[in-house]
Parts: sequence; structure tokens; C-alpha cells
Amino acid sequence: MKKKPFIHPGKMIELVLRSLFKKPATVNYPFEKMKMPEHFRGKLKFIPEKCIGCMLCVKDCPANAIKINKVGDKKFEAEIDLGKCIYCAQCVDSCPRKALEITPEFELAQIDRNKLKITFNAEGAENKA
Amino acid sequence: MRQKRQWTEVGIDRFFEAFDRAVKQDGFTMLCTVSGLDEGADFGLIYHLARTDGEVLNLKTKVNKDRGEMKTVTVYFPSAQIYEREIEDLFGLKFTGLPPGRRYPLPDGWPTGEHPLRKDWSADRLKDMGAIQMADESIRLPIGPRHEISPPTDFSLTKVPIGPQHPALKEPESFNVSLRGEKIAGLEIKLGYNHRGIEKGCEGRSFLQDVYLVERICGICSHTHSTCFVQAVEEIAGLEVPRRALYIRTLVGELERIHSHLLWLGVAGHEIGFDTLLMYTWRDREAVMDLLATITGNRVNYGINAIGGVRRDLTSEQGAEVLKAVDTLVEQTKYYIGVAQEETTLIQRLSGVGKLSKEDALRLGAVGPTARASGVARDIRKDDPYAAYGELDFKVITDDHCDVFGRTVVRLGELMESYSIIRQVIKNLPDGPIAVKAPRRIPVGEALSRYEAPRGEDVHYVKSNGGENPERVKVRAPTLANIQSVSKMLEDRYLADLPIVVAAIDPCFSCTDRAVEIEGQGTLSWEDVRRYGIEFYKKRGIDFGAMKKK
Amino acid sequence: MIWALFQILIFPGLLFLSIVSLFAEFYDRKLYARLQNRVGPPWFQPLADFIKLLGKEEVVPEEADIEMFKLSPVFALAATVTAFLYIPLWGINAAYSFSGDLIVVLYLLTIPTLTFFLGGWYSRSLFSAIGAVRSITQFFAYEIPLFISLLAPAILANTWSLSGIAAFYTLHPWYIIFNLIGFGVALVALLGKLERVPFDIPEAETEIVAGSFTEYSGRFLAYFRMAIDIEVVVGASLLAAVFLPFGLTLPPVWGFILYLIKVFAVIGVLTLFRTVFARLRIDQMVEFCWKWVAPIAFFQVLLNLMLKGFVLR
Repeated sequence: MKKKPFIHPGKMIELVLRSLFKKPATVNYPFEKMKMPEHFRGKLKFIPEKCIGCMLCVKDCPANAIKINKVGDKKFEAEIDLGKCIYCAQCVDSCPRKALEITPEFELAQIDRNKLKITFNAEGAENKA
Repeated sequence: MRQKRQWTEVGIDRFFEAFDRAVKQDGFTMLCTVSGLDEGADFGLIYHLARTDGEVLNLKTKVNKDRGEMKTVTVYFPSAQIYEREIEDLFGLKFTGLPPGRRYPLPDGWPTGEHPLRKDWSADRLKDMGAIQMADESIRLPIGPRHEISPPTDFSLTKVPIGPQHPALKEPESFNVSLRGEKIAGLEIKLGYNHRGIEKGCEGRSFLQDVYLVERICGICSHTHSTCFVQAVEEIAGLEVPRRALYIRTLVGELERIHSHLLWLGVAGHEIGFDTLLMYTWRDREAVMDLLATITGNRVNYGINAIGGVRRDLTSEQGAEVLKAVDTLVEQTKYYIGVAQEETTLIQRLSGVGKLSKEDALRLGAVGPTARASGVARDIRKDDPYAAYGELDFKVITDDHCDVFGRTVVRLGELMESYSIIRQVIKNLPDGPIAVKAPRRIPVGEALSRYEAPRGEDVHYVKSNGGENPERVKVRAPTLANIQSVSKMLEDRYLADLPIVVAAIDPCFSCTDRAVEIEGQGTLSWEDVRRYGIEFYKKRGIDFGAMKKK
Repeated sequence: MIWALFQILIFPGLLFLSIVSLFAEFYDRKLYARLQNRVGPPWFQPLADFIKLLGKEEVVPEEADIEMFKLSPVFALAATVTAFLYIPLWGINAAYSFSGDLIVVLYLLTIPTLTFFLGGWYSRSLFSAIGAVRSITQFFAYEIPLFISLLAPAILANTWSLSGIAAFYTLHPWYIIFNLIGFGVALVALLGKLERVPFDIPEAETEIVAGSFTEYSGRFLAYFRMAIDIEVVVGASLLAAVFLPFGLTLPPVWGFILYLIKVFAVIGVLTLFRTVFARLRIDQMVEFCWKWVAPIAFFQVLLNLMLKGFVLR
């Protein structure tokens, strides 16, 4: 590509003036929400009925973010640290019984680090640590 | 086994003879990197030399730890000095004959005798030294010898610190510029601020976990590092990756290249005060990010690679979406090419700035668009094809301007080529499985994998000893090869050119540094961090508390 | 006496000028954003910025010269407000006028540049020093074209008083056409004076952090920024008064509205320039100004002299 000297100072002027009459490209978050695609990797979900306690998810997690505790005969609960989780969904892939699912929820910010540790108890309900 | 790779080991006494023959007679004129290994009683050193036809010679030698020193190869390759300095710092093997310079990548105050990449070193050693303690107590690191900046010889020069914190820099690096008026009279580059310890971290995690760790070396080149690593592991394990997976990897790789180049255009505009270009290119980039989120599940750090293939399939709707977005992007990119060719102020700021002649580019080991803008036609996708590139039709864009304007032109040209590649990929997407099952234990072996990142050539060397964790992972990011040309480019230029010249090599210092990770430090509360900062400066004679409020 | 104080401090002095300039900053930033396909700040943003800065802690470098450091913003503010008093806003008469007040206004407008230099120099900080020196270097480039192009209509009108110029052109409205070249030159030179892209070199964020203002914070930064905003309005008003002196005989309310339209039109053109150009380097800027802008300004003066001598008699 050869450059043409001094051809057109202010080349962007037409595009720029046309933008005056168009809607801005900004999404007015948080008043307008962005819709994430269906398989976006957000927060994890644990389905305790399917868990068999094989601990493969714990072994494969690159960030040591998930812990499975046995709370009864064939009953398990999962402790997930959302601060450590890197949302890679490797645990979802490793689980042989599909007891872990990934949801598109991404608004997970908290002011207190401790509120990021959540537990899914053996009934499937979620509570913060 | 992969073609185009030669592995040779020679003893230290015959090493230089073999090296000389490889460079001078066999045509291996490019040094990719130098990998260091800790092999018990010896240090292993592998010199990865490449030829223009894509063949790579991995020349290995051993240096006994007691002997502790090795002669440098900077007479052949000036760019070797930074790779050798890295080995000096991280392993403790001294290289004789190196030109004077700063240490890399560890910080100045790092305690002597602590070499993180040795097998017997762990971060607990720093804790045992009483160096780092839990929250309430004071934090002390035993100070090693400081590398003093050489005293100024010419007092008429003004020394301006650009970095490590500066609005021009997107990532921390330090350029100490000596100015005579507005002209640059001297430049001192200090790197290593983003050192995080990823290579050591890889050794402590399984191959499966490392795919994610390596991906997070950098946000913009995440797919690059992930694919490069996975390719090396697949080569060691002898896995035959299905063609559909290779095509999907190529698709994501090219989408990443597009988003990286559009980001670069915006950043270059911002560095020269042209914020409008920044806003428009980043607006267009959003379309690419949304595509990547739909296909892979995340906007950055895609996590699409698995050892043996990819983790997600591409549906035909997604393919149609990609093609539609590419059509819009093609129009927009043609417009930006018009702006680059005709906008007077842009041409004024970019032309003639940061000149790097073809000889210098070859000598200093520049890679990627930096080299291609100086007429060096080097592109790993053509020279040493990987993924699906062997079956696709595309051009390698080079330019003769040899300056920042040339680099802009090359990147814009590469954008157009990427659109063409993506269209070919979607059209010719083969059917079949998306992955083969990979074993958890990777057999003994080693591999060198190269990938053309948006910034240049990315090199990964992986060695496995048969277990679940790798023995050694060595990463050489493209910016490390390019940063050595920056001093040459800034000779006789103005201060105002420094931001755009640095931005023109598209620096990604997160890729470059990757230091040792210190785990188990405990959490520091905000007050502790603040107190640590104040103590740090008090030791250096600056007292914030006593600053008079005037 | 009371009337004079009212004029200086309230209208059209400090208070009125502050309100208009804060609104002008909003207008500039909103237009800039809309041209870039973004949303832009709400109307109270500049006021909020000003109040926030007033409340922030002031950190003064230890080695800085305290008096000069503190006085520079005040001088800048005072000079720009004083300059405004001589500009005829609506109607032919300004708040104060006398023969030669055009020169006084131009002189008063050079004081802010000087204070940027002094403030940056006496901060005794590296980036401030570079910014200050660039400020003065740039000053040598744009000041001559600005002066010459503003003096050209005055030569045609045969008076050095702004009110006199306004009166002359109200009598001969078509003569405004002769000054259009000068208008173009004055717009470019004004970009240099106001330190806006493509001439915002003294405050190049990506090269020298914030130039002269690097060490400023709190109240002093608030005054400096207010001085810059006011300088924009004063500069635009000056250009409107000298190059666009039409419709000055309208009744006061309409005249005021027309004046606002003129000023905001000029500011709009300046914003457009800010959007479509990149920043030049200082050597390129000086070369550009002396090679192209100054000769065209001289040409305009020559044209006006010839017109006055041979045609208009």
C-alpha cells in the first residue's frame, strides 16, 4: 500500500458527522442489561443427587476452587470459592455423572471476600458461608 | 512424530563447534530461544535454532552444576542475551561474555542465591527465611545486592522515567529515557514487572490444569499460548487430533488475531492522541468479542482447547453468525485502511518513526508484524504450518516502509487475510469428532511448538517425564524477541515518538515476564498493604507521613 | 461603583462566565462523545468535576516554589475574566471599551499561557518542566498568526477598539466576507492557544502524563481547569466578535441568543477539529505554523490593506 501525501486531512469527518444522528453504541449498563450467550461460562451449579463423590472435579480444578464434603451416606455437598474459580468449566467436563453445571450468571461481585464462598448443601439449596 | 524437528545432544566440549556449523553452514539463522533445565547434577541447555523453511534444530548440551558457567552465544545472535540472562536469574548458571546490562526477570531486591526454577526450590524457602509472614507482623524480604543504574556521565541530559506507571503504557515496564531537549539521547529498558511465576507453576500442576494456567499468561494472546502448549503435549503423546478440531482451533485463532489487531489500532490511535480511532475500532471489536463469547463461552481466556482436540463444537448457526459479522468487519477495515492512507496527521506521526532496517530486524531477531514491516517474510503459519493452516490459502503480508506506518499497514493487511481465512474455514469445515481421548499420564518425551501469535512467533518447549505433571515448560513470548529492537528504533528520535514506537511492537508484557509464583503468602488486608508500602519507602529515605502540607 | 462591581463579578463577569464556560465544557464533551458514537457525560458533569476538585486534598511537591505554584492558577483565572469584559457581546458596546482594547484583550489572553509555563516550571517536576517548555515553544508558533489574523479586520475597520470594529461592520455588513481567510487562520491558531488536539502537545497525556498540570491537585487544579474553560469561551467570543459581527442591532434578548449561537458554533468547529485529527509533534507543529499558517495570515493583512487603500477609499 502506498501512502498518498497530504490528500485528506480530517478523513474521518464524514463518519464522525454521521454518527451524530445515530444511536450511541453504548449499552447503558446497569439500566440496560447485556444478554450473555447461552453457553456463557458464569457461576457454577451443583446437583447433589447426581454426585458420587469421586472427587475428579476437585483433582482437576486448576485453581483449587471446589471442595466436596461427605455429609451422609451417598450425600455430598460442594463448597465453591467464587473468588478462586476461573470459570473454565473443566470440573463440568470431568464429572462423570454431570452433577455440575455452568450457568450464564456473571454478576457475582461482592464487597466482602468471605461472601464469595458459597456452599451447595446436600438438598441442592445454596447458602453463603 | 512431527517432521521439521531435529533433536541433537552434544557434550559441552563439542558444543560450540556444532553450534557454529548449524548457524554458518546448515542455515539455521534464527534463534527461537534458549531453554534451561534442571537435571540433577547438571544444567541442561537447549538452543532452539530455526531455518527459514520451518525446520527447527534443538541443540542440547549439559553443563555440570559445579562448573557453573557457560560461554555466551551473543556473538552469533545479539538477541540471545536476554534469554541467557533469564537462565542466569532463574537457574543460577553464569554466562561469560555477556554485554553489561540489567538482570531479568527477577526484581532488584531479590535475595542472592535463590534461583526459583531449580527443582529443589519452592516458595516456602522465602517463608523459612522469615521473609514473608502472615497479616499482623511486619513483612520483610532480605534485600539482595541492588543493580545500580550507571551514574549519568552527561549532566546536560534530562533523565525522564517513562514507567513503570505511565499513561502511555498499558502494562508495567520501565524505560528510562535520557533527553537532550526533545531528542532521545539514551534509553535504558527494565523489564520483569509482570513476572508471576507461571513456568514454575506449570511444574506443580497436571497437564490438564496447565492448559488453563498457560492460557492465562496473557489476555489477548490466550488462545495462542493454550494452543501452542496443547500442540506440544499432543506431539509428545503422539495423539492424532481430528481435522474438525484443527479447523475450530484455527477459527478461534484467527478471531483472536482480528480482535488483537483491532485493539492495537485503537491503542496506536490513543498513543498519538487520536481518540476517535480508538473509539471506532474498539466498537467494531465488540462484534468479535461477542462472537467469541458465543462460540467458546467467554470473551477472553476462551478455554476451547483440550489435550486431544477442542471442548466445544461449532453449530451451523454460529458459523452463519461468524460469516455475517465478518462481512461487516470487512467494510469497516477497508475504511480504516483508507484512513491510514489518507489522514494527514496520522501519516505525519507514524511515518519515518521507529525505523528498523531489514538487516537490523534479522540481526536483532524481530518477529511478527515488526519484522514483516521491514520486509522480512517470516510467518510461522506459512513456514511451519500447524492446525489447519497447511490446507488454507492465504498471503503473508510484508511491507517495505520499515517504520511504524509499515507496521500499521502490515496489521491492516493481516486483518483482511484473516477474514479470508475465516471464510475458508467455515466453508470447508470437515465433519467428525472434535477430540480424541488423551491420557492423564503423558509419556516421556519433549516437544517444541511454535505458533504465530498476533504479535509474532510464540515458542513453547514442553518436556514430560512420564508423570501427570510436566517436567519443564518453557515459554518464549514474541514481545521478548521484539523488545530488543526498541532501543535501535528509538535512536535519534523525539520523546513524543516513544509511546507510539513501543506500542508499534504491540507489547504484551504479561506474555513476556511470567515470574515465579509465591503461594501461601496468606491474605494481606488493605491496612497491611498500605503499611507495607509506607515501610518500603521509609527504607529508601522517602517519608510520606512527614510530607508538609503546604 | 456598585454597577462596576456587578459587571465584573456577576454579569458579564465571573459568575456568568463560569456558568457559560461550564456549560460550554459540557457541550464540547457531549458533542465529542456523540461524534464518536458514545453517550457522553450528563449536563452537570463539569460542575460536579469542579466541586469535587475543590474538595480534594492538595499535594504540593516539596521542592516547588510555593508562591508561584499557588498564584499561577489565580493569575490565569483573573486574566481570562478581565479579557472578557472588553468583548462586545450583544449590541455594539462592551462592558468597558476604549481605543486599543483589542490589543489589551490579546495581551490578557497571553497571560494564561505564561502561567501554564510558570506553574509547570516552578513545580520542579520532570514532566511539568517538559510540559512547560513545550507550552512556551508552542506559544512562539501560534501567537503571531493569531495576532495578525485578528488585526486584519481591525485594519479594515480603521480602529483598534472592539466596539469600534463592531460598529464599523454593522454599517458595512458585507465586508465580513473579506475576512473569511483570516477566520480560518484564527480558528487554527486558536486551537494552538487553547492547547487542543492537534495542538495539545503541552498536555500530551500519553507522553508526559499531564504536562504543566502534573503536580497540581485540589483547589489549584480546579482554578486552572476553570481558567482553561473560560479561555475557551473568551477565545470563541473574541473570534465571534471580530469575524462574525452581524445582527448586533437586534433587541437585547435576541441579540444575546444570537451571541450564544455564534459562540457555540465556533466551539462546535473546534470540537470537530479535536475529533478528526491526531496530535502533532512539537517540531511538526512549529513547522506547520510558520510554513503555512503565518504566511496566510500575512496574506489576509495584505489583502485588507489593499482593499482599504484602493477600493474603499
